[in-house]
Amino acid sequence: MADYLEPVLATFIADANRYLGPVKDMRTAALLAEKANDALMESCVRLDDVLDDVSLSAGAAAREMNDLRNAVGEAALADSRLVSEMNDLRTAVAENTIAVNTLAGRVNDLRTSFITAAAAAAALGKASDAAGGRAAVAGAGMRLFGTGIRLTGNAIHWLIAGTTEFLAVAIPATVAAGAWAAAWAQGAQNVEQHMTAVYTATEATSKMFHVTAGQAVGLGDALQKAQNAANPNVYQALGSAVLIIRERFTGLAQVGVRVGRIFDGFAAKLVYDFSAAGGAGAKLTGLLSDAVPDLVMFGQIFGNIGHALLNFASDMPGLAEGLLLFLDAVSRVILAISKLPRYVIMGAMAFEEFNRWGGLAVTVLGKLGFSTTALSGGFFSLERASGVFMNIFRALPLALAAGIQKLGDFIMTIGPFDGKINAAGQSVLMFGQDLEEGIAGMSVGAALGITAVTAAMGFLIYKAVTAKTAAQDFAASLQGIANKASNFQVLNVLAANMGVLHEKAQAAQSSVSRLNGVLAAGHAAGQYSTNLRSVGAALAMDTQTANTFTAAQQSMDRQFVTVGRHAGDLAGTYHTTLLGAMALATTAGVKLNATMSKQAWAMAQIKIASLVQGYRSMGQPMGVVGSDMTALAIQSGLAATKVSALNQAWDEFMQNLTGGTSGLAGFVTSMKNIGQVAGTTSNNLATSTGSMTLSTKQFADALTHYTARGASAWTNFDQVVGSTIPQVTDWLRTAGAEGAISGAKFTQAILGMVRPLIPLAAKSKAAQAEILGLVQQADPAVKTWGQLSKAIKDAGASTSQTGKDINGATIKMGNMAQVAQQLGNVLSADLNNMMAEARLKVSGVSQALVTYDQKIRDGTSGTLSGHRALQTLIKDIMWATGDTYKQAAALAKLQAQWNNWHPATKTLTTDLVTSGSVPGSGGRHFTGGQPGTGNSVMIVHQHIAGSVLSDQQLARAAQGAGLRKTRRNGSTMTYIPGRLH
Amino acid sequence: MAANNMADAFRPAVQSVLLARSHAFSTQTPSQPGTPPAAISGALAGSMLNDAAIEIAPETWRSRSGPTTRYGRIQELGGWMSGHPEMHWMQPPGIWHHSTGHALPPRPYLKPTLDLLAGDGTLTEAAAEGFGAALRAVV
Repeated sequence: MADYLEPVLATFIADANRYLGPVKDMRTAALLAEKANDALMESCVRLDDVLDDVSLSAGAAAREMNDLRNAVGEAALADSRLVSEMNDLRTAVAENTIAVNTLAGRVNDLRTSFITAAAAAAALGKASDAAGGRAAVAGAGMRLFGTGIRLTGNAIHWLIAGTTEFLAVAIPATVAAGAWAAAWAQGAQNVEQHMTAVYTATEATSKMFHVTAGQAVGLGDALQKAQNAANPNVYQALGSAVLIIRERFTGLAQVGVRVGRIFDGFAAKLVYDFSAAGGAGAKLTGLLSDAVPDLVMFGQIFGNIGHALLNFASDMPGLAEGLLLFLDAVSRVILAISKLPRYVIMGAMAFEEFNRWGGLAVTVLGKLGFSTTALSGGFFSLERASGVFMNIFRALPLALAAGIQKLGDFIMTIGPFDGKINAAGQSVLMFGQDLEEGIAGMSVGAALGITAVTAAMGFLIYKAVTAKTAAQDFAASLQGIANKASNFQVLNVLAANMGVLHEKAQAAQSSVSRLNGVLAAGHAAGQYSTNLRSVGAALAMDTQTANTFTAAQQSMDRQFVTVGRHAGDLAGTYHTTLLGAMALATTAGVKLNATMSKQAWAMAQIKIASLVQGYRSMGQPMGVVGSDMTALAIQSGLAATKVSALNQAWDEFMQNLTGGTSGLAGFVTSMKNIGQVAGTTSNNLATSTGSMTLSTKQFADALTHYTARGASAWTNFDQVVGSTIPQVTDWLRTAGAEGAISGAKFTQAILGMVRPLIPLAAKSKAAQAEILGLVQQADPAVKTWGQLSKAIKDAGASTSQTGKDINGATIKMGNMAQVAQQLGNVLSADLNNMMAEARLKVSGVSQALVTYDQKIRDGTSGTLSGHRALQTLIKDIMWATGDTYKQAAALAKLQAQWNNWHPATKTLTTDLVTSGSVPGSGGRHFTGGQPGTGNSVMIVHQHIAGSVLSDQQLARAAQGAGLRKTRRNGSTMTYIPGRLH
Repeated sequence: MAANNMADAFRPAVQSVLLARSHAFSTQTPSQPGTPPAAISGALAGSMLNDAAIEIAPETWRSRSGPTTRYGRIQELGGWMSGHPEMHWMQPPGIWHHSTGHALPPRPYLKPTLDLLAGDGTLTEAAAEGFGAALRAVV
């Protein structure tokens, strides 16, 4: 049997004792803490029960105290009632005596009134006789056509004289007006024809020459702008009318058919009546047989009257001119008055209307029996104003006094009860009478004072009710900004507003928490000072502020969601992009953030539908309307990409770059060609170089100096580099923004345009610098002439390739739907990102997670505050993600567990105590050698914060997996120790 | 798992050392005495084997790694090798040598690799990783 030598091995030993000890200690401590926590919670529950008992006992004691207090109060009340009844009895006796005296006085007054009335009746009889005589005389006067208007001789005189005077003025004035019209007729006709021609010409050529009719006649373009702005409104109104008619046209059509049938019947009857069978034609012929003589007679009558009036008018003494002068003066006075300051006129008119309509009110009050002061004076007099005011002021108190008197009368009718009720009724009646006398005797000054005080109190109450806090003003101002933002801007504005409001709300909430702490500490210390009361007031104010900001933030969020949803609905309904939908809403005058209610959204949809219908009624097919909106969307999308600003910046850069050489060349050329008329230069490379007689080498040489030939060469060169190519570059950049050309193609196209310029600029560093500056628009890495040549070669750039690229981009840009989709996708992505960021920004998830994580680390996650922290985190997750409570709770616990296993403070240290070796010397195969000693020993220390592991878990963690061997080909086999493999 | 992880990290490192150089059968090895042997068939590297960790003391675990070929030990430690009945090899190419016994110098490959991995922290890192993985797996 072979003598096996001990094999050579590397031995690895892991000793987990140094790690497991502290972990076990941690676990033990955690278990103890958990038990202590449970005990504490039980104590809290018991304490809460005790508090409930104490509270119940205190409530019972308080109720008993109240019962006792009520009993004492009832006894006192009974005593006071007894005293009051005795007083009433005394008062009733005294009042009975006074009533007897008053009754005696009234009897005397009645007797006196009777005597006075008898005398007045006698006088009235005499006056009646006199009035009868005068009425008989008046009755002899004429009545106009049986009406109540008397037509006396004096009146007839005024009529004739007045008519004549009027005609004396009116006829010459009419003649003068006719002469004016005749003189102006030709000019006015010319103006009308000219304006028609101007309108026709400018409407036809406005797209080409950009001159409107208003500008052509010197009015500027304000009218055209107004008309353009009003066009969608007109189309919208047209669309509404079409929709209404379409909804109701069935009934109208039936009405029209019925009317048409009736008219047809009527026409048929007319035809029959005027036929030989009907006889109506013969009657009409007989009726008209004397028509001409009758007309001649009427002409003679009117002619004679007119002639007579003309004769009278020519002989009038001229009083009409005097009256006209008087009226002219009066009208000038009225004009001067109308130019007084507005508040003067308004005050005077208000005063007059108060007196005029106040008089009507007083009349009505008089009919109701509440008028106390007779009105006198004119409508502009203070006396009348005072009367109106006092009547109105006294109306309500008088009504009250009358009501009290009626109540007194009613009480007196109730019955005996030893006369007490009657006495009480009399007291009420007298109180009403005293009140009425007091009101009637009140002076104007007192009434004004009471009115002023009442108005002041009302004003203060109104201000107290409608006053706004600074937080409400701030939230309202943010809402105002959102209301003023366009549909394209409103999402950005709302998102920004939500961020600002969230920060404000957090700041207010922090203050609330701090003040709560101060209050709690003060109460715990038994302090109930003035300072603590002021802290309480500040706490209430900050709480209100936090609530205001939170409510405003939630309102902004709802608007944000609504705008996005409604824009999406419109895009789907009218087959356009999101931007197109916003453009459509803007054109229809709809603010998307003002469509929060169902009714507002329904109205907005009707307006938009009306606009679309209007466009269709004006000849735009539905698809074209969608394209119109898409074009607006493209315009807005390009504006959003700032490509115009970029183009402008690059143009300015190139103009600055070529400005020096171009200016110098222009100066030399101008000096050389001075006295000659310069021709225009085309923006085209072929035309520019085509006009030259220089070869490429000669051109390159010419760029090295500023002779006449060099100046011409520089002029043409700068024209191409500074104008022609940048224009094409701008176009390519626009195509890139619309997704019609890639970045690589953009670079290739520019290099292709530059390529033919390379030999021309071969000898001039200045020309090379201009070309390099141009190329850096597309490839900033190209900084040297050699790099440019290499870039052109690598890109395979050529003029023909550039032409292909531009053709391809042009074709793509012609596909409006694709362009709009490209821009719309960008906006949709921006919108989604914006919504996500806004929600995350205001959700508070991060802070809530930190708080709950800290509770876990502190070992307080199982306490009441830990539970609250968890609920806050769940609520924030629900708000931010829209998850249900169950989903949010699972997510919160998972997140917390993840943090638990990946704490920021986790430390993992390992110590290699000794490093092993395989010593030994010599030995024959199978027989020699000694086993190695001093093998490597690994001691691992691992500290994981917040973990509590069982003994079994720790043992399983420390032990290894099963015995195994891994072959070279990756397969495994079971290894049995002690067996030679 | 900490002990197993150390062995797992050690075995491929030794194999890479053993396969770093090679030469044809019956030719002279390019390996100088004192440096790891050069491979002919790769059998030595392929014979590297780890055993599973066993608990040798409370919370202390051991794993081992080593070759199982017959000449694994003598390459590491050196010693006298005898033929059956003789050994033969070419040196230089074309000239055969024959011998019935030959003293092989030590060509250690286990110890240098162990020193290297212990020195650069590989074994430490492997042990820590294994312990952490084990903890996460059971909790």
